[in-house]
Amino acid sequence: LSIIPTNQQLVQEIAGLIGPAASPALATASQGDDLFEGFLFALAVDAADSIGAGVSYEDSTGTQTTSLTLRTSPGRIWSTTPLYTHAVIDFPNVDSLEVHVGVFVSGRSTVAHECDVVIIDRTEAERCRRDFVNPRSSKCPLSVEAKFYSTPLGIGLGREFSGLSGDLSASLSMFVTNTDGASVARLLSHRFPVGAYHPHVTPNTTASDDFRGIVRKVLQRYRAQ
Amino acid sequence: VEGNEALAVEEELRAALTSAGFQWVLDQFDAVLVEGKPEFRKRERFLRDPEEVVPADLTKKRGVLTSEPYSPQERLELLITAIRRITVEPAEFEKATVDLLIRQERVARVQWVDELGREPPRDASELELSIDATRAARAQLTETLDLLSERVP
Repeated sequence: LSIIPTNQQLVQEIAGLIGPAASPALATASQGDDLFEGFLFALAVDAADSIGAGVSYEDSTGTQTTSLTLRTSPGRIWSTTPLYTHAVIDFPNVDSLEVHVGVFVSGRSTVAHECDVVIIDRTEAERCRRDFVNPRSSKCPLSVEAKFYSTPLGIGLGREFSGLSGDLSASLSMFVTNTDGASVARLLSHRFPVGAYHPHVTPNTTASDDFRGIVRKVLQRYRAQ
Repeated sequence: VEGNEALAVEEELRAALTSAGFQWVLDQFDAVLVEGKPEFRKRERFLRDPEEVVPADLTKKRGVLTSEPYSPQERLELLITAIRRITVEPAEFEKATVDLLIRQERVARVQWVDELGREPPRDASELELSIDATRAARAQLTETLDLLSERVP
């Protein structure tokens, strides 16, 4: 005879399991963002790989590496302590690009904005590392605002993205999240082009394929120009 | 789970999240409650702002976007989903990131490092171990959350 647990028993069981089941890498909301940004970085690199671009990794001194060090908070592209890694994307006969996680990019107002994942002209990135300045957003084919949330998104996040995008002159600014938000979706659908808003991006889903597909298109377009 | 019981269960889950160090989840949850559930309301007549970017036809068809308070059951369902997201999804993100990068065979190691040293570096290989170590608890938690969720009308 099976015993059906009461609601109280279920809640007690859940309470006892939250700690043991949770990732130690998720003690704060920002750590969830780190994981999410790392995942989007990997998808962007995978998109480049899928169109036959050359992919390699190097640190901020230009030394090639196979050991990736990713940021957990926004930083400057030229910082060398520690030596953060970016991906280098090479195309034949076209200037190379770099993919970064969490670097500051300078907007139209010249104010620095954090870009969670960003693709930057390699020539611009090298100049910035040399001159200790932030990359200009006009030299970015793609910037991504990533939001890892436990709940539906509040309209404030859509508003922030709307303001941020207004100051960025990247070819495409995207808002990518693991969850969704009806008001955010409506705001962005009326103010941004198709492909700017990506909800429900989690591993092995159509949404993550869509995100990778848009990155692929951005890279193909860059290569063709 | 009836209205008052849903609120009582929510309180207990809140306490569990707080004691497990997930106050940030409750902050996000509370922000959603304050904003309310997005809802379209159809009206025979509606006033348009001259600057409005939403086409009038669309508003006529779908209604005016407004919001209403979440019911106790909806609140509970939101919280159950939030717990599922913070326990199940991170492990999937960690695994997928490592799989995608290592699969390309150009990467031997992935680590996350805070520039200001406010937290110790996290290595993907350690994350993989933690994913394994927490797998059983995660599976059991998912099952229990599903059971509770089925009881919320």
